[in-house]
This record gives sequence, structure tokens and C-alpha cells, in this order.
Amino acid sequence: MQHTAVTTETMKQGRGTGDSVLSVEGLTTYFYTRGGLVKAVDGVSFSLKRGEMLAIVGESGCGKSVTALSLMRLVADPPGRIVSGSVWLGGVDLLGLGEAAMRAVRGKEISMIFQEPMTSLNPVMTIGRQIGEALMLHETTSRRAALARTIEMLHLVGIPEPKVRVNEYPHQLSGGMRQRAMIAMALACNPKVLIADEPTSALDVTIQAQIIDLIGKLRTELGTAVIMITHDLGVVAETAERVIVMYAGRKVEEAPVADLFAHPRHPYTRGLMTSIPRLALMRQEKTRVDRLQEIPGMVPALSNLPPGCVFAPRCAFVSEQCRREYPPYQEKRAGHWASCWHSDRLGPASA
Amino acid sequence: MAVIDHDAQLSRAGANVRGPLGSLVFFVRRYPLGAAGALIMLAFVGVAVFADFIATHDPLTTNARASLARPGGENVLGADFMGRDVLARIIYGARISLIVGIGATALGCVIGMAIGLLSGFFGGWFDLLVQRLMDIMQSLPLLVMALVMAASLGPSLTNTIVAIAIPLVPTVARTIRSNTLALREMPFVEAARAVGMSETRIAVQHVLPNTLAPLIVLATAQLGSAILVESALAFLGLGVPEPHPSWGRMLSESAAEYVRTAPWLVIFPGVAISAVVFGTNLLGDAIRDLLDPRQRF
Repeated sequence: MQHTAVTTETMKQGRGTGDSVLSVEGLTTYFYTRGGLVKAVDGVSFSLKRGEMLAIVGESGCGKSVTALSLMRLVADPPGRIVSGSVWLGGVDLLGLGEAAMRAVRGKEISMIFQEPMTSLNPVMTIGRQIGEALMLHETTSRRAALARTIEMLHLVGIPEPKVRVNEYPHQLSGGMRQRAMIAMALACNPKVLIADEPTSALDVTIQAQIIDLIGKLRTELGTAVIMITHDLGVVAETAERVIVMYAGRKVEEAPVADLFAHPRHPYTRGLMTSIPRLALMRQEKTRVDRLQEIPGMVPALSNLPPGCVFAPRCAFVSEQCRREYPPYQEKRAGHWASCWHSDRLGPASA
Repeated sequence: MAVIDHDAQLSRAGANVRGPLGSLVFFVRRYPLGAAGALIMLAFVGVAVFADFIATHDPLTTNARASLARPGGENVLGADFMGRDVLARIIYGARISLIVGIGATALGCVIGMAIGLLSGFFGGWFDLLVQRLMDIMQSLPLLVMALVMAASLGPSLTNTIVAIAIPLVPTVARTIRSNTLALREMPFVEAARAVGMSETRIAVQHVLPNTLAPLIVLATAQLGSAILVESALAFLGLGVPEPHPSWGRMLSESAAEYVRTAPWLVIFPGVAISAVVFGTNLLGDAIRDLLDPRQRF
């Protein structure tokens, strides 16, 4: 059966080698809603090396945030539930842990920062106290030692005058500063993995670059592996080493970043790339009035997926086979995986 | 276009407020009515606390010769049928009103807060059960509820406090619950989970402090009604028993018989009750404005 073949191959890819710090295998998260079964994450596997920066990209609703929440075991139940799979971190399957054991892992081994820095900090607590609390949850330190470490962290994330800022409330900080404080809180216990769920989407463009640079800098300094979840391919190109493209709850492509941009092996990935406005392109080709490319149609409802390839209804390369069978997830080039029947028909990216 | 005086605008916004005294002056200028309310409450608390030093007469000593004495002279606000000084009884009555008012409000708020937090944050069958109980309690007016409680508990200071506190619980619990329902969906609760905090800790450390602002507003408003209910209970003979002087009972003792012949027996306790309730309302409004960040700029 086709499906079994897919699973074994994804498993092979996902298990990773000895130096992987996080290994996700067949992660499947469903939501049981009134509208039916929503397969938000459907058999996603990947691994993350020590200190690596992995990007997960995709449109809104493709399951990238639910993947992140599933890794943290923070999916609201009900309606959500992690149905199957495993998440190996430091020799332990997080999905098999009890709630108390999982709490000890969150913030200590694996941390997460969120999209909304404006509301991700408690408005009635000083940032120093919030970071200090996070520290004292996992490390038996005195209040004074926690304060010293907090000031050190604030300095590390580039907040000026950390000794003053430590006593300030979130409303006294700008959005960028708050996201820096969130990063300080997430990294306070020196976790092995940091999940950044669209950390710059709510920020000013000028601040976005600063935050991205900061995460990159801390990754090299502290050796933390980062999963960067984003819909911004610019962010991906700048920061990530490896990219996973998700569509409708499934991983459709995975490749080193340069390879992905040069030779996308899935029509969806190519569609994403051609839908980025390019200033240079517009300037050079004055003669051709180019309309910005778009991917026609909409992401299918996750509760009602088409039988074959989930991208088939929107795909320019669609064939009868696509509508019938889900394409196997195969290694198309060295280290470059995709699940598409027609990868070979895709030329290099148009830009 | 008119010339704008930037300095005047800035000082109106409180830009040059320095130190506690400066803050006080700013508050008085910004909320004159609130300051008046605060002054009334301060006077009320001061009188209650220092009753022993302020009162010129003993509130309990009867004096046949001073029976129904007019205001002025020896008894500044007159004397009642038994010749007890009205001013002294109002002064000591403030103590009862304060104890009952603050005691009942505090008790009601603490119970209501605990119920609201449990109910809103953890939900489930507890929420369902408790909220139906609150529905039943809220279907009776505060006074009727307090009456039933006081009548069944019997008259004593503690029982009066409990009788007034219990009917306050549903209002507080509802407010805290609805706030909690909104707060538990806030990203900072998710962020607290992501650093490994337990649900109980999140409820107490992150959600509870965020409900305090509405609670303070509610508590000041409830303080007035608690004092009013105490007076009403006393008026109906169900409040704090003799010999403690209570404003409500001072009214009830005199209302029927002496309202025409000795109106001061009714007027002065009535004024005291009205002034204090008015004061709590003024102060409550100012505190609500002050604690609402959208009103601050």
C-alpha cells in the first residue's frame, strides 16, 4: 500500500543521526471539532541537530504552529489531541511523559517564544520578576542569584540599561524590547531547543531584522538549536540552514536552504517563491509588465482533504495520478526531499 | 489657530508630578469628587478609630434629665429618649458601621474571589455547580438575602458580618470569573505554560493579580451597600444587638415615635449613613477611573 511506503520512508528520514538533539517521528495531531475531524498535523517527521536553525514555512493554517505546540505538548485538549508519533529529546519521548515531568522539560530543555510580544508578558509583573520566576522554576537559586542571572540575560539579548529595565513593567517597553525580554525568558535556563513561532510577525520591519539577527547570534553563542516557524521566506533565506515546507498539515518538502531556493522540488514551494514581490526583477524587466504570481485557490479545509495529493486542486502540474494517490516522500536530490509525482518537471526557481 | 500653552497641557497631564505629595495634589485636581469621597472616608475611618478620644459623652450612659434634649447646649446633636448623647452614639456607631462594612466586604470578596478563580480558570463540573448556586443566590435581592441570613443566624456582630458577606459573594464571583475567562486565553498564560509553570501557579501568580483592579473597584462599591444593608438590618432589629450603637438602630428606635417631636434623632444618623455611602461611591468612581489604564494618559 502506498501509505505504508510513505510512513517508512519518513521514519527513516526522521530518526536522524547520533548528533540530533530533537527527533520527531510521525507526529500527528487532530482536532475533534463540530465541523469534523481536523487533521492539523499529519505524520510529520524531522530531526534537529545541535545548534541548528531549522525553518518551518507554510501558509496560515498549514499546521506549523500546531506542530510547535505539539512539541511543547501545549495543544489545548479538548479539542486537540496528539494522536500518534514521538518526540525524542535527550533520549526521552516527550509524548510519553506525565504532565509533571513535561512541566520540568518546558522552559528547561525546550522553550518557546510567541508571535505576540505585546501580550505575551503579564502586564502586572515586572519583566525581571517574570524572567526570575521562570529561572527559579527549574533551577534552585536564590532570589538574588536569579536577579543577577536575569540582568545578565537582559544584557545578552541587547536590552540597554538592564539594571533599570529589570524593574520595569511590560507596558514601559516597546514591542521589540518585549520580544527581547521574551527571548531572555525562554533562554534563561539554557534550553537545548528554542521554538520561535513567528517571532517577528507582529513587529515593525526595522525591528524584525534585529530580532532575527539576535536569535541567530544567541544560537551560535549558546549552542541552542532553533526551530523558526514563519511564513516569511525572507526570514528563511537569511537565517535557516534547513527548511521544511508544510502544506495542509503535511511536510511536502525538506531541503538545505540554498538548495530549496535554487531548485524547489514541490510546486507549492515554487508557488510560494514566485509570490514574493521582487524589486530588482521589476526594475530590470521594464518591458514586461509582470503581474505578481499567486497560488490559485485556497488551502483546503483540513477537515475535508482531497483523496490524492492535498495540493492537487491548486497545482499547475496536476495529473490524474495526483488526484488518485498521495505522492511518496522521496529523496529527489542529495538531502533534498519532496513529495510530488512531478518533481522532475519543475525547472529551477524562476528567480 | 489658537496658541497652545504646552506647559499647561503637560501639567494637566501630570507630566511634572513629583513625589507622594505631588501625586496627591495631582489626584485632588484631577478627581475633585473622588478626593471629596476620600476625605469623607478618611473622616469616617478617623472617627471610628479614635472614637474614644473624640466623643465627649459615653454612648451608653442614660440620663433621665437629658431625655429628648434638643440639639445645642450640653448635647451638641441632642439626646434620645433615654438621654443618651446622639453625637457620641453616631461616633461609636461609625465603628460598628466600619467593622461590619469592611469585614463583610472583605469576607465576601475573599470567598467570591476564590470561587470566581476556581470556577473561571479550571471550569468543569465545579464551575457548573457553583454558578447555578450563584444564580439561585442572585435571584434574591441583596437585602432579602441578608435578612434571611441574619434571621436564621441570630443577632451578633459576627453573624451580621457573615449575613451581609454571603449575599455579596455571587457578584464578586461572577466578576472574577468573567475576568478569569478572558485572562486564561491571554498569550502570557500560554507563555507561562511554555516555561513550565503549573496550572495552579499560573492561576494564582498570573491570573489572580490581573483581576485585582476590577476587584478593588467592586469592593469600594460594595462597601457602601454593605454599610447600607447593615443599617437596614439594624433598622429591622436583625443587626448588631444592643448595647452597641448602630446608625440603623438609632433610626428604628426613633422613626415611629419621635420623627415629629424630636426629628434630630432621625436626621443625624440618617445624614451619617448617607454621607458615608455617598463617600464610598465617589471614591469608588475615582478609583475605577484611576485603575483603568485606558483612562490614563
